Amino acid sequence: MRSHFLVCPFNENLLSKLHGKSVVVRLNGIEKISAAVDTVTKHQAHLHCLLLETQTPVAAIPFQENWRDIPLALYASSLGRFPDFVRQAPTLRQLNIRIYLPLDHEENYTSFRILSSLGIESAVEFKGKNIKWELITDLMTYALLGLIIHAPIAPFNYVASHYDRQSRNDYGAVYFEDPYTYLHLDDKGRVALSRADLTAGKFVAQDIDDVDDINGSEEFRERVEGWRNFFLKADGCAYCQGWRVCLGKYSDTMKSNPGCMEFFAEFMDSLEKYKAIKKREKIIWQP
Amino acid sequence: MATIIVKATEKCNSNCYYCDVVYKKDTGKSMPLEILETLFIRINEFLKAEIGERVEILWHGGEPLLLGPQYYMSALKLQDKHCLDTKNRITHNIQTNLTCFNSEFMQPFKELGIHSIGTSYDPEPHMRGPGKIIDSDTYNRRFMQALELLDRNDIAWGLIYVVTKKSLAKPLDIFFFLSNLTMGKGFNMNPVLIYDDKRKNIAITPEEFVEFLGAIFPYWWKYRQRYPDVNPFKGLVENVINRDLSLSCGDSGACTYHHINVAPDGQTSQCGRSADWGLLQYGNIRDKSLGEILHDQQRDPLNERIEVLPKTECSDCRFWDICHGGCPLDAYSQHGSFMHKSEWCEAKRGFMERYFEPITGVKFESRKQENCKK
Amino acid sequence: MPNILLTQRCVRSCPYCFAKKHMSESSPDDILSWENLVYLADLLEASNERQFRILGGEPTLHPDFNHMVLYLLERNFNVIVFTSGIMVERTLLEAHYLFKDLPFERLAFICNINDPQKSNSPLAEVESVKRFLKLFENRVIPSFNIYRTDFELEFLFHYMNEFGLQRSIRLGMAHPILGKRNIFIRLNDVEAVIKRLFTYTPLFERLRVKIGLDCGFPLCRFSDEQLAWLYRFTGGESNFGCAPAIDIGPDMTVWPCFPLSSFQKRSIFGFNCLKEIQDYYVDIFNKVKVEAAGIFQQCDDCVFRQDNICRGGCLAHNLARFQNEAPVRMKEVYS
Repeated sequence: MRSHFLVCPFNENLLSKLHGKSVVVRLNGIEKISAAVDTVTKHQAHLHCLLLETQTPVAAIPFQENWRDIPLALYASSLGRFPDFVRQAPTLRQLNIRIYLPLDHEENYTSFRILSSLGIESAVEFKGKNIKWELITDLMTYALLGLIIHAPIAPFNYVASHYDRQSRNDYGAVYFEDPYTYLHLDDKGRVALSRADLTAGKFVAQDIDDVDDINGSEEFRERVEGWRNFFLKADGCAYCQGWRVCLGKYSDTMKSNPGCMEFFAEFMDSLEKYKAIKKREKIIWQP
Repeated sequence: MATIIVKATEKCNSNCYYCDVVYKKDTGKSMPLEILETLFIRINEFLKAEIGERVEILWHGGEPLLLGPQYYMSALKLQDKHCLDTKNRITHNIQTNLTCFNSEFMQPFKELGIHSIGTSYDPEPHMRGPGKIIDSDTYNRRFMQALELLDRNDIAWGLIYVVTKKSLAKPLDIFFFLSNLTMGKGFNMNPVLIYDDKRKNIAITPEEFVEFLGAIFPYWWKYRQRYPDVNPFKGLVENVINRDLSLSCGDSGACTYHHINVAPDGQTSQCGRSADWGLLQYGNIRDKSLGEILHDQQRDPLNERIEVLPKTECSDCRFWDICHGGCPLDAYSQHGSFMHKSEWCEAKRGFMERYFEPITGVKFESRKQENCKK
Repeated sequence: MPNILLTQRCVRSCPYCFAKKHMSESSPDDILSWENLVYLADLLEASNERQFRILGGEPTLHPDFNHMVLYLLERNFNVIVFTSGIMVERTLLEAHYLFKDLPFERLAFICNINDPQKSNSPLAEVESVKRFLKLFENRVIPSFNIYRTDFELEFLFHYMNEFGLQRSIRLGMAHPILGKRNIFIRLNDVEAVIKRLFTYTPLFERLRVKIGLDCGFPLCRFSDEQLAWLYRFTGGESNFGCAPAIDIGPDMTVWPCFPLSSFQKRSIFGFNCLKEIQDYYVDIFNKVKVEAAGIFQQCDDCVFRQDNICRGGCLAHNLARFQNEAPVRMKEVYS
């Protein structure tokens, strides 16, 4: 089994114990980017990506061309002042970056399209209770079935490239929320299965040395098999045709905002069309 | 291939609303190892005499897992002892509610070659479960735990869903639930069979079954690649479109000389229901060989039925080739005679004419029609 | 090369207005959304079209005009904006700041300027246009629509000199808007218009201003001498055509051109690429011309029309003739 990527804060002491591990380093400001990369290198860990969590718009961040080789996951609030953003676009296209924007800023529904059409990868952060599912459906259709090839929009393109119609298709990994792939560490090296668990102090191991045993733990089993609990209810997500992609992620808001059902049904239709289009692409002898 | 349904026990740990086991007169019996041993001796005799034959043992009940993993280890030993040269022509399958399943069953199942398990489930509360209240919460939890164990150990499973009156209001919801649960492993939708007045409240008519299937079929047909193994749809596609006429026992009309049900005391009959109803009783395996039992003259009317019905009740039916008048026991329960078609034939015909053929655009042609054309 | 309307709103009410019928039917709030702009950009890119022509109403009234142009430029489109030059000051200043350093090929304005005297334009409008021309100078190609036989062009040459505009004039002739009464050049006045136009040839020559004829000018109303002058002065680039221009509205409907803005209107989503749209309308145009080859009777036998050197004038004239008849012709000639 592949070992986990460890999502951890930028803490020299902690990183010094992660020799040989693959890490995602969380930062809340760009000024520490170089230092974080240097520290990871110094302690011979492998940098999976830097996770930048900011409340600032993309346009306000002074991206640099020498960040080209640094894998970046940027959580921003919005695109920001449009002319300033456009000025950054050529640099952004050169970077190994995915830009996450939240849905609680309404203009972001449009921003994904702009980013994608300008060749910059983005991801939808499903934040807020009043998700406009019709707009998400339009965005998903654009992402998968648009007229021309453009930069991916996660989670749509992620699911499309991993889609197996006879399996559960979990896109949690886009948000570092997949216990098979990502574990979350605090400053002291205590391990949690998700960011929410980390914040709540719900640890599955007290030390990073126990990381390799986590897959065998009862907490891990409960988490990865937790989807079965939906089938114990008399109604709800298990009865939805979109289940195999959604997996109940929006069960909390399903009753108050049931647009998710129609969206995921439409999503699955689009995934089939996408698959059919990909199947028609001819693959020749060149490896 | 001869199918031997081994009713290893009549005991059951569940009180499923539509099940006949709890209504049997004789309940609580389990098959002692001596009878099991005799069975293997008889199987070996049979296979030695019939070189090309195979035997499928279908472990059944009640709830067969109540016998515990040791029982199946014993079965394995008996097979090894008495079927040394013929065990390669014996396959094992099991039908269980899974609520007793645990990791200790892995080893005997693996050695018996059981790679796939048949089970059934109903999401409707208080339809399946132990006790007078039919505690479906407990049942469902244990069932899901068992599925988790099967999945983790890569053991395949398939599910039967029994369509009752309670299913009729929400066919698509049920379809989505079952397909989400099974996720490519497949499930069968069968109509509930009720023979008493106490449970008439959940009985359905053939027409209602047609409408239930008809509510699901258009969606399934559109997305059949996503749901490959849903019956009766998949079977009908194979029969009608792919012209593969392999059919279940109820539709093939071919159970006459191929099925045996063995009760815990060794008494044999045609199948589980015939044993329950005291019909087509072929004697005890202690006294008779499998060959004698399989060719018992009492079976002959079942064969005769296949000759008679196309000339009588089924003479104008296009779907004879994929129906054969349905299960003879269904006919018996309605008419007191095998020489009639089953009432569920109307369900098949209705579904084919009103849904399958119009939606797929494929009209079923019987062999007779094909020959006429030639 | 299609024209995309960013908005139906306009600040002017020109007497000949091609857009008149169309805008009167639309809500002033009809503006192109970002989603639809991205879609149209994708459509053009998929069709290997790298020029994005922006129209209106008055496109600069769109609240995101500058940002949309910026976006299109970032997508490597060359942008042409058809404008009256009457812009809100904030938009004007921002546009100047954003685009002043771009090469001309990346962004150009075709500014439709009315004669300040003859069109009775309010002073504020005239001043607004001048402000625009002063800021954008040689990024502007002046354009003029001829809707009366006593038109004058002197003011355009003055503007070119005063503001350093591109030394080229796009000249259009006002055509009938199908189904409506608007001011346009009648068929028997075409020759007089051409004659008056050629009184300006000394100015064109002296100031070395190029002349670009828009669609709908019929070849036969030019004398050989006039044609020779045109050939010499434009290097043979004169156009006597009438073909679908393809206009796309903010509501994502498409029609052949502005005088025919309510003729055979379709949703753009019914087409997969620009070529399909083009072919669709070319086919309709050809069918109309089977019914009436051109605007004059002699067009039927005209060898230049048969050889596609002239397309027989503006189709709107032909279609206008059919409006009052009993519907006995091919169905394509009706809306």
